[in-house]
Amino acid sequence: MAELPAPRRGGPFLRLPLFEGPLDLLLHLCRRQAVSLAEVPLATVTAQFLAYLDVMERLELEVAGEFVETAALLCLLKSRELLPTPPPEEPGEAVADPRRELLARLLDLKRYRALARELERLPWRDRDFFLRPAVVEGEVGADEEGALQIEPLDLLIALRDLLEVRRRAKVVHEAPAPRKRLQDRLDEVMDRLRATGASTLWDLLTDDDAPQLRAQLVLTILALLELARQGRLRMDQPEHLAAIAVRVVEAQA
Amino acid sequence: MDPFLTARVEAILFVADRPLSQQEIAVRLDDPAVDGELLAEVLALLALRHPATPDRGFALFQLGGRYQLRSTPPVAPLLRRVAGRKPTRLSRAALEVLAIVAFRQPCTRGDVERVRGVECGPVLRSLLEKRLVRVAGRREEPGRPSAYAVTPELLSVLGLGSLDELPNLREFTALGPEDLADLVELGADAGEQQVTFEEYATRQALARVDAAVDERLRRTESAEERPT
Repeated sequence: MAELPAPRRGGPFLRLPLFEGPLDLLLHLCRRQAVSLAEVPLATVTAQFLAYLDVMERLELEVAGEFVETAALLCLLKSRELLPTPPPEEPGEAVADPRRELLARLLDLKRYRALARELERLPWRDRDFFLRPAVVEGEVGADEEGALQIEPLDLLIALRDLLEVRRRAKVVHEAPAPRKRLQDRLDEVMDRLRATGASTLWDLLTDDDAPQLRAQLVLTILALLELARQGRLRMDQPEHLAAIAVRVVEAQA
Repeated sequence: MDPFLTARVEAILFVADRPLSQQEIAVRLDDPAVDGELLAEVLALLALRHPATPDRGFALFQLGGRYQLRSTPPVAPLLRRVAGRKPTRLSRAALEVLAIVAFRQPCTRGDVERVRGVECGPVLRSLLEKRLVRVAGRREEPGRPSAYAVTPELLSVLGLGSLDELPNLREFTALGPEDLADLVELGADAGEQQVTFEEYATRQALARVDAAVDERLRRTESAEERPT
């Protein structure tokens, strides 16, 4: 096979997948065949599809499981075409045509591809045009004070940012810290909040004897969630991407 | 014309984060004395006051019956530099997922993956983080998967007043299978201005793979034709 470019020693010669998925490859084949999608000749397409998989594997390009699945489907369809169509189980029932279904999926993908390109072509904010810095107009889900409701995603993003900071800070030596119990941490957080009145999520998460320890971070997060669940504190986010404020809930007299 | 009315409408447009229709402006005005005709006059006056001439950095734009004050195209490069923050740059995969969610919402990750034929988890997560997509409840089926929809932020980023303004939605859904098959693939072959290195490398690699496959098939065919 003198034609195949030899893979470089030490790894695949191109790390980027050529085709994101089997439908991608099928569309590429249809385009090369230059036929209307409705007239896709199954035998040729199947042979080409398999050839592509083989070439890509030899070149050590990534071939995900979905490709093999589609290759199997194509072979099945091809073999079905050689046999007479079986009569439907019950009279009047429409025969399911997997070929038509595959075509419909290809068309769908093509349609959305074109739409995606159109989206890219629109003028985009912060790239082609600019607005005044955002003034949030009465967002859906705001509470009485105008703050946004916190979604679990916001907490996850905050935690991820924090872990990222921790990862970047080069820890020379981690001294083992005494393990704390959840209850202790609950009390510590409440004490801290009562002392300062209110705080931000960030401050609470970083206020610890051993902030580098992941376990401690998790413990603090659990403590905050538990306290929120008990209704002893509340968290608000005044606007998008702003710091999450944590407040003690006044006990009912 | 009541100058304070002009001021109020101008102010509403000033703080809006997406294009507003006349109706939406009226709702925000909340003034029973102002009817459609009067509002239209005010908007015409404001359009004259904020023309998109070369000496203006921002102007009142009207797109599909909606109004928005936004910067003019010539100053975009300058503002990109001044703003500093990187604009939302989406990959082709992200744009496809966005297109699917926008036109099929609410839809699950499974729906999206079925269209694209690949896994879309990480892309969806990224769009969630950018707040272009949100969770809009769950579908009542085994596994109770989350259903996704687009957000008002997406409308703001695309400079749209509503999803109905998304381009060519009508055209694409009205076309039949035979028409779609003849669609010329836009973009890749139509002289794109800028190709990223990855795209270039991918196309080169693809060309080589195409050639290798053709050669292979040719050999297989000639091998089959040879008399045993």
